[in-house]
Amino acid sequence: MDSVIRAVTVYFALLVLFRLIGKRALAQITTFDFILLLIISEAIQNALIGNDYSLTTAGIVVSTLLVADVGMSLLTRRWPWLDKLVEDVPLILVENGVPFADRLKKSRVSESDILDAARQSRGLDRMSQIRFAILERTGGISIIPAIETLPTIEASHKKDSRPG
Amino acid sequence: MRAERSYDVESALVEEDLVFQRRQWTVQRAGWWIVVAVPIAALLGFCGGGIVSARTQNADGTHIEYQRFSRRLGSTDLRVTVHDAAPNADTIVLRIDRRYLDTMRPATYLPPPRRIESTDQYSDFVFARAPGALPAVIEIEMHPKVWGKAVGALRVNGGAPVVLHAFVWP
Repeated sequence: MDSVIRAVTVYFALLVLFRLIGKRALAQITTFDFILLLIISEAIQNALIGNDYSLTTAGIVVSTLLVADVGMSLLTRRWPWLDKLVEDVPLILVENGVPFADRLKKSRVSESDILDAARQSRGLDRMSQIRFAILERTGGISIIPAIETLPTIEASHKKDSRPG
Repeated sequence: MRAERSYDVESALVEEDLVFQRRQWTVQRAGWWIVVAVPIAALLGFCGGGIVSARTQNADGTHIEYQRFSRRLGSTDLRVTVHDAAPNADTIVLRIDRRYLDTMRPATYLPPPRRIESTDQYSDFVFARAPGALPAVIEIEMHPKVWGKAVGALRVNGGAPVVLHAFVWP
């Protein structure tokens, strides 16, 4: 009984905390972020199981967390408003090569983050080549290139795939 | 850079919801203050072990120190310093209300009590004292049994009661 309450409390506390800090916090995970996650999980471990290190408690806690997560995903499918609340909504950061300053600031995303994503996903090197940059629900940035840059990109991809 | 716009047809293609987004930013900013307040409150002692938590009460030549805040799986110390016992008494008796002991379990004692006498209203913890040896210091490490308020009276050698008020965090 106690273990189930603890697991559910920790699940919702983490859900609220991670929604509060924003989706960009852990989307592009660095080595330090990874270490931070390990420390967080270590700190939560005691709150989850208390002084009871039995297999039964571990089983109860893991089952409860999985049920909470699956239950939440079912509920978010049923109610779109809950889906937005839990999973967030996508946000356009750049449109036709022009960044939205206010949105970048509030989302804690810099222009260089967008150019990083443009380089890595599309091989673009200028803001003007971006039709849309979208901050996705997962925290990643997806890039839709401007129409006029597409032939250049395709040609460059063909060149890259040519046997050398 | 472009200033904020009110609506764009193309933004609908990516299921953007600016009304929700703006509300979310507002809630997030409020939430950050709460998240920042948690470690500050902990540093001050609102979760135990700081300047806000440390409590001292005096009654009849007795000095009682304890923590107003503690945590369910942690421990908290009750320290009683007796300055003014009867000169020939060879014992010091701490009487703690049952309702306090229902929420706090004495775990370790320094020095150990000679005996403990319990009724349904209170427990008497009887400690030996060398005659004339003052002040006498008694330390009891308490383990909270439940979370919530812990309130109860403590008397030393039948003197005036000192009411202990504590809060145990989950």
